[in-house]
Amino acid sequence: MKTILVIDDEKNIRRSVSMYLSGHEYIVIESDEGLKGISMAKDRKPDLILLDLILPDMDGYLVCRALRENPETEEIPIVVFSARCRKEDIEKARECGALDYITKPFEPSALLGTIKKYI
Amino acid sequence: MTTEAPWFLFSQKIMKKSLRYNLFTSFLLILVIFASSNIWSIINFNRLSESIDSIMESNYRSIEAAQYMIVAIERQDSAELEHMFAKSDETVSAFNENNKIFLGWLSRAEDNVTEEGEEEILQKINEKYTEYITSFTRLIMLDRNNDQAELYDYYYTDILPLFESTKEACRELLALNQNSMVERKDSSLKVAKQATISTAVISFVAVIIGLMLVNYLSRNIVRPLYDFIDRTKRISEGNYNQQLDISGDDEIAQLAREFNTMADKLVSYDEMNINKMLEEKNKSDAIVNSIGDGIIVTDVDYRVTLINRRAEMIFKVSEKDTAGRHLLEIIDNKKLFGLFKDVRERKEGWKAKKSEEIEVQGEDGIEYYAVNVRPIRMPDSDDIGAVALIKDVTEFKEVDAMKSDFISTVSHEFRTPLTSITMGVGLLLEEIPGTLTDEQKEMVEVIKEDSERLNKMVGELLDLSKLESGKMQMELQDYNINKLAEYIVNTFRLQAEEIGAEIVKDIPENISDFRVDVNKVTWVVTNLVGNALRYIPKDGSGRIEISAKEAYNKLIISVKDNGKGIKENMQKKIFDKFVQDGSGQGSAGLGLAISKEIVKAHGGDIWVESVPGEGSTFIFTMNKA
Repeated sequence: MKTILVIDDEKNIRRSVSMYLSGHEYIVIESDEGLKGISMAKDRKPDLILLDLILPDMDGYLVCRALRENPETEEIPIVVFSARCRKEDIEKARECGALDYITKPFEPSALLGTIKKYI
Repeated sequence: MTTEAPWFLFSQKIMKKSLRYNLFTSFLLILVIFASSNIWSIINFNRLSESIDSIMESNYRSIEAAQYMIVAIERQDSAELEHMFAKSDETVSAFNENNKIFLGWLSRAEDNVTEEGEEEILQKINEKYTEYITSFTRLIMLDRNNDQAELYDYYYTDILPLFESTKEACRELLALNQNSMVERKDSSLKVAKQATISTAVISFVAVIIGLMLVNYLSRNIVRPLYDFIDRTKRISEGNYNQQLDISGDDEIAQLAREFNTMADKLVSYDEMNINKMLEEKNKSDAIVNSIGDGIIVTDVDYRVTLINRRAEMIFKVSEKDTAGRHLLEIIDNKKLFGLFKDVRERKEGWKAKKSEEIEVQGEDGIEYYAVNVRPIRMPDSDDIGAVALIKDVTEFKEVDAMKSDFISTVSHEFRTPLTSITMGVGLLLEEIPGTLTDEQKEMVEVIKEDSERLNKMVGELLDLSKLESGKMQMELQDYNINKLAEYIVNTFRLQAEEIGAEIVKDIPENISDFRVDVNKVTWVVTNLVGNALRYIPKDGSGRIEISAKEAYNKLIISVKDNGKGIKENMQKKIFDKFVQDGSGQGSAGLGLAISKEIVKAHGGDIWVESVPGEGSTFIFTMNKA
């Protein structure tokens, strides 16, 4: 069973995504803050991280960069999912090390398809 | 002059000062001179004729008398001698006859005593002749005695000397008068010579004086007239400040005075006009300065000829520094200059632009101004420059930005809950939490459909806010409408077949490329065809046609359907936000608004032609490559 870390401050998103992915045989762990998410990634070594860009304590890009710069987490694929849909946001996310970008709202199947590309 | 008086009635005042007086006196003087010269000549003629007369009267007659007396006395002497040799009465009567002649001439001579000594000579003649006559009487008496010898003796001793002395006296008279005649002739010649000289001198003097007078008159009358001509010419050239020097008090001086008054009045009229014009100019300056929008006027060489107070404030310049200087020197705003240049050079499209926006660094951040530049046209001539009206649109800009921000924020805020809903719906539909009954499933489908609609709306709203705020980037490329239409036709073919409708394209193969952002134009056509699909008949007669044609530098693209058409009052509104045709079907009504924004961003136009009941044709234009 693969583990997916969801970092998002929205409780309902975390819940629905977690429920959905659990239904598809993933172990989902959740964080509502950036820092907490980073430490969780270090401790639990998830197979993939779903990252929101807007977090209460820090910018999603920063989280992305921090995860990439840490040797313990640098290999973990990161998929950004955000309500921001401008080109520059997407490009910036890629620059920071995200592998993919999903614009909210998204079809559950699309999310699943993207995840399956990487794990 | 209407009240012309005879010269002798001139009032003293006019007599003294007037030009007429000058002319009159001058000509009078010339007349007097010539008259006196003539009188002098007449006097001389008279003197000449008098001296001739005096020769005639005083000498000629005496000479004639003396000559006749000599002749008479000689004849008497002959008669005497004859008498001595042959006495007869004839001789006596001849003697007496000549005696009468002699006495006659003597008395004439005595009546005409003119010369000095003439009296004495005549007296002597008289005495001697009397003695001679007496002697003749004695001869006759002696004759009676018939003593021939005595007779001869008497004749030679008494009579002959008397005869000789009388004759001598007569000759004296002759000589006296002859000498005097020569004298008088000489004096006449002298008089004539004098007259010639004096007349010549007087004539010469008269001519000199006449010339001087003519010179004086012409100088006093004609010379001021040249000054008049000169000044009048200058006045006619518009140089009204002309004053003549006034000297004297004659007609010319009066005319000069009136002329000066006239020139003064012209000057004051002129000043009055200038003042009036200045007043009008100040008025229009005040109006221009009071206008709340900025105004800049340039000439054809982009030199600033007018800049009002508002424009000075906007660009932080002062009119003193601007007058006559190049626009770019004063206001370093290339876009503003470009607008003037476009108008001046009649660049294509300057007319179509209602206004352009420029940015100016203000005290509290960037200010936005809508600039409208128009050429200044004069009737019957070329442009004389351009005028720009500069409107502050910062506030609108801010409101617009706020609106866009608001829409953007709202959209984002909507997206998060929408994500959860979508996820939840997905969960349910995939029956992860548990199997659903058919009814439950149907309900979840409804939720899914509407959440999708909501999602689409939010997306469109975001697109629209981006388009409106100009944040949407355009990626222009040359593309062919055939390719685009084919893609659309293929995309919608299945959907059309489902309702038995036909979707076709009618575009010439060799049509020119257009220069567009392909994704956005595809979006527009997709939207138009999607709309059409919703409204065409579902009974198999539905038809949608995509066509395009070239017109000048544009491509005209149309999407035609045979749907129910659009009411006339809706045809314009239909491109506004959130407007639907009232059927309750379809989207949030943002599609056409977005299409309009996209077409506008390409510099094109979009409109609809429709007949209710027959169908609609949506038409838009794009620039050719």
